[in-house]
Amino acid sequence: MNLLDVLLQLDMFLPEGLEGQWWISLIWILPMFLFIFYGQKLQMWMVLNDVTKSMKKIKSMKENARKEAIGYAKSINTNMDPTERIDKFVEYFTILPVDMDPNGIIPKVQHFMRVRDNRVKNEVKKLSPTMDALTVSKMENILEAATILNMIFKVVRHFYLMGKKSSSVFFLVQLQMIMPILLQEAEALNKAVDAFKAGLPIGDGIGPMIVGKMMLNKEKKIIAKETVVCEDRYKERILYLMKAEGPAGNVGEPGTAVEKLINEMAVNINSIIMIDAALKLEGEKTGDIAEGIGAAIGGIGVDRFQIEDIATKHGIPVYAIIIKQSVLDAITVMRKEIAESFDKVNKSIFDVIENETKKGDVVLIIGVGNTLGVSQ
Amino acid sequence: MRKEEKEKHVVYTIEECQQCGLKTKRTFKLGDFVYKVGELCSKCKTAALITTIYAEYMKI
Repeated sequence: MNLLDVLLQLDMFLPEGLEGQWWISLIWILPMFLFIFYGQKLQMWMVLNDVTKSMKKIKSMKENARKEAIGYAKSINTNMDPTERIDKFVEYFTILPVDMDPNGIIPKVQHFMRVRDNRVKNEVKKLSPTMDALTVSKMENILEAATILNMIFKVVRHFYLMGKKSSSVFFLVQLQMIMPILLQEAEALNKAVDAFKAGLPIGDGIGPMIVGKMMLNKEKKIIAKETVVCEDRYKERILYLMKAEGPAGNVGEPGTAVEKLINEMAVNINSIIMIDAALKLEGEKTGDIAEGIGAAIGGIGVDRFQIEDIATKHGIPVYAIIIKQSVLDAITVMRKEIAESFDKVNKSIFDVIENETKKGDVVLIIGVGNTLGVSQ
Repeated sequence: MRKEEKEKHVVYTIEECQQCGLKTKRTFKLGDFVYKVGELCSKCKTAALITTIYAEYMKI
């Protein structure tokens, strides 16, 4: 039986009057075979096309951040061409300590992060030795955004090329699945550069902004690297207020600062209240606030570990107040909705003090986050 | 194809007079930061304080 006989057998499926017209069967049989044998290749071609488009977007964002970094560096020191230095800088990496034996890993991570921060600062200062602290921090933040964008692009390109080289649709499908998240993050970093350049407060700065207002007109002292603290009174309670030193773009070292306050300065803290920006879930409103328990602090985990550790050792309750926002809101200029949460958070802080502490207690209030554009 | 919604933003600086409490909203100027002493209050002529800087977004 040849192919023509098979096609003629399919006559029974054709409408009346079309019997014998075997070629009509080809219209649906051919695509069926095409999809059986070339379906995966076709799917791969479509995925590849989709990933290529997204990769091009990330590439243009990476290049934009690099150009912005070079442009900002040139505006600081017009006598120097910073291109080579910045190109070298965006390739910097940090190797985190080995975690096979996690005992004592936190001090190691802290050490490496400090070395990294100092190295970055020194490199930035080389661009212009007369640069003030605010400009250094702006440049650092811009470079960090450019470095992360460069890293995202390189990882995406790696998996894209691996998928292409091995003709494996699975590499590409995995990349396609996480692409929306990567694009969202890349877009946030790209937009953040403008806020960093202008020294604008970012969404993450809401915690320092709230505590900064409480610190106004009070004597402040540096307690840890880029971290300030001051004392206040409220309804017969002693308040210690802490935040990163602004208006430069710092996050400070609140973990070390809390350790110093309790261990070295022998302050008998009864409660800790932490105010921080937190990532909202889809469907939640930007600027909504929520109260909870635990150390509200992001980052690599060193500060959170230090605060949790010391709070557990001394039996100190840790209360958290979070201001919800997306990843884009957190690193771009502060939205009105976030700024408007100020009064609600303030009320929550004093509610916690009044309801959860008693007269004579010592309460530590920490405004966590990047304090760019927010003084105290 | 879904048309991508774009947003445009304008950054504002809010100044608050520490004497009479008058709030003034103006566009952000380079060098502004929160809790910086701002311009003179138009009502009582004392220095106002920058209390907030935020962006208002609008869809285009």
